[in-house]
Amino acid sequence: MMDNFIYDGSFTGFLTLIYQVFKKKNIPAQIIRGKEAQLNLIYNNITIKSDEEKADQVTEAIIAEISHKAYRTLYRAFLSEIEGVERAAIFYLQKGFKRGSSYLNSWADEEVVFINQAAKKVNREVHRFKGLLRFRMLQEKILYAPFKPDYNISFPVAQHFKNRLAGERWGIHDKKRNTAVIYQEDELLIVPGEELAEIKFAEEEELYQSLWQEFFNNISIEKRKNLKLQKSFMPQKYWEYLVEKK
Amino acid sequence: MDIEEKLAILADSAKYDVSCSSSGSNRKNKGGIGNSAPSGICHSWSDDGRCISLLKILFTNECIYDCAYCVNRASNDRPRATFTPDEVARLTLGFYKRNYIEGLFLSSGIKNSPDYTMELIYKTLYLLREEYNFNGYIHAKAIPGSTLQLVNKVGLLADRISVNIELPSRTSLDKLAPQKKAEDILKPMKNIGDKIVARKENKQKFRNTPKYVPAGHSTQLIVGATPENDNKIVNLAASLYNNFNLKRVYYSAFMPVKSDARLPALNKPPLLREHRLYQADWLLRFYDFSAQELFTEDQPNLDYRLDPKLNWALNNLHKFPIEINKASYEELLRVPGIGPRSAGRIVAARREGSLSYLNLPKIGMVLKRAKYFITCQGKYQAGIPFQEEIIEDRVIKEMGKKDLHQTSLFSLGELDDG
Repeated sequence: MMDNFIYDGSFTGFLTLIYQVFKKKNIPAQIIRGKEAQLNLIYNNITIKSDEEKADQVTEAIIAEISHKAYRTLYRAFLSEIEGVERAAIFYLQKGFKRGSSYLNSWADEEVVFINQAAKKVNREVHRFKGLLRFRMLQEKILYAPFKPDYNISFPVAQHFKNRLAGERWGIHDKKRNTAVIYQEDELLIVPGEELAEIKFAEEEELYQSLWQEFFNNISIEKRKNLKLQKSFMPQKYWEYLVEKK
Repeated sequence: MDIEEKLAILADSAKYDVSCSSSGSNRKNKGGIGNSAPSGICHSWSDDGRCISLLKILFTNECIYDCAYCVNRASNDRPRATFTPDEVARLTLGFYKRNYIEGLFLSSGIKNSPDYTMELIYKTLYLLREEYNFNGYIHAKAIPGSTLQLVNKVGLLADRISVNIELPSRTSLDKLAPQKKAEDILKPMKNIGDKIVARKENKQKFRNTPKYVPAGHSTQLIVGATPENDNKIVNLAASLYNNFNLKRVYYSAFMPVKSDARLPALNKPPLLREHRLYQADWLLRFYDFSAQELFTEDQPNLDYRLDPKLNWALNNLHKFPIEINKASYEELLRVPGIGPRSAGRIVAARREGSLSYLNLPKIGMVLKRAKYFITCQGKYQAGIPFQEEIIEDRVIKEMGKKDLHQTSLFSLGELDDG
């Protein structure tokens, strides 16, 4: 009989799931994210409890037996939340453990293609938001950046700003998933959106926004106007929080 | 004049400078604000589709020179403004904190004298780096004619310096920018290039060698204002890369800003030509082409219908088709539709087993272009006989049209793969 695995949707939970798969040689029929799963007559529902220790063991095994790159790619692919990514990851790891680091060079392998493409989408969006994220200065001298990414990228995006804005207090807020990453005393904390205080802008905020709009409008060359090209680089779905496109 | 008005004037005056790159530096944040990302980051795209990465402004748009092609020429009647170093620093920091920008691009008209202006640029950079502890990206202009000592002081603070050549020959320079001397442009370029090399050598001996323009130096050429052909321009670029150790040459399609008898009257900037020059430049830097390979005596200009790599391949069909599973990295790199990345992947993937035709798109190859020039496991899959006229006809029909629509897509962003 085959089983359904249910896990909490976190990366730690996912790695714990991987631990179960390889320890018990049990490949699930379905992997379900979140707490709820319908009872099913054919399959057994097994709930995986996130376990830091098991997750760490899996991390170490991936790095030691395949490569650091494999681990990183897998993590980024996981953040895509694309349908089927967990199952693809299982087969990816199965082959990776067997063949070692050179497995990643099998550019035509089905799972390598799947995981690479998912990771690429995530990486691309992370890179995009390194540029497109806009902070607003709040009254408490906190920089606050709301955004709506396609993928679950708050954490890698926040990592980019960790060193860059080390002397500031700031947070980024995924409005789609309603989670936030807050930077405090050199640490990144993930908090639910409900826990954020009410947003009140600092007095100087308006001036800087209008200065930026002024700059934006003046830096464009009229005779080269090309709105289509602009949109191809900066799709409209990102405009909601762009100060210059308000 | 308030800061908003100044910003409007001095951004407007800076917009003809093409470069907006913020890549190539890895400055860390040392207890202040900012760092730089080696990959470079675009923060926005203006209405003309150009990437905005840096706060690109002039320190002043007053200018004692009267260069014919320049919007800020002394005889042009337009509003003038001048920042103070502190205004520039505070704008940079305010924008940077909000993640509008990756850093500052500071250029300037020439006020009073080259050294006077260069000193102001130095003061601004000093303020940002030393007083505000700003470690974000800074691109500064070296003002032609200023003393090398001053240029080098700026080089110790900036991530990139550029000196614009603007006109691709001495004759054109004498004609259109009579107050600028070619030597005033070339001397600082040579000096910066030499310093970068010397610093690299020193760094191997002494650990604490200070950074000197870690992201390299660049220049800009105006295309279409003067009679130089593409062969001449690309050769100039190649010799700048080879002799002055330049990181980038930028090309700017000429746009008349004020009518002048010495300049051609154009309705539209030659954007397609600019685009093709960027592609040719790309071939020099990443595809190991030499300038000579791209031109013949009776064809001193690029064929604007197709990209120069495709053109080269059509003119050199005797070198094709090549077998994907056997060709060397260098040979693969010459195939239209294969870039450095996919060539590297092909070589790596082959070791894991022979590649089939279906595998190729997964590796990142653009088969639409490449199929005419390759065989895979011995088979030619283009669906037409391998004959020059047929291939040429097909390629121009299939790709020429679409390519024209994409004009300047590749020349403007921060794209890393061509």
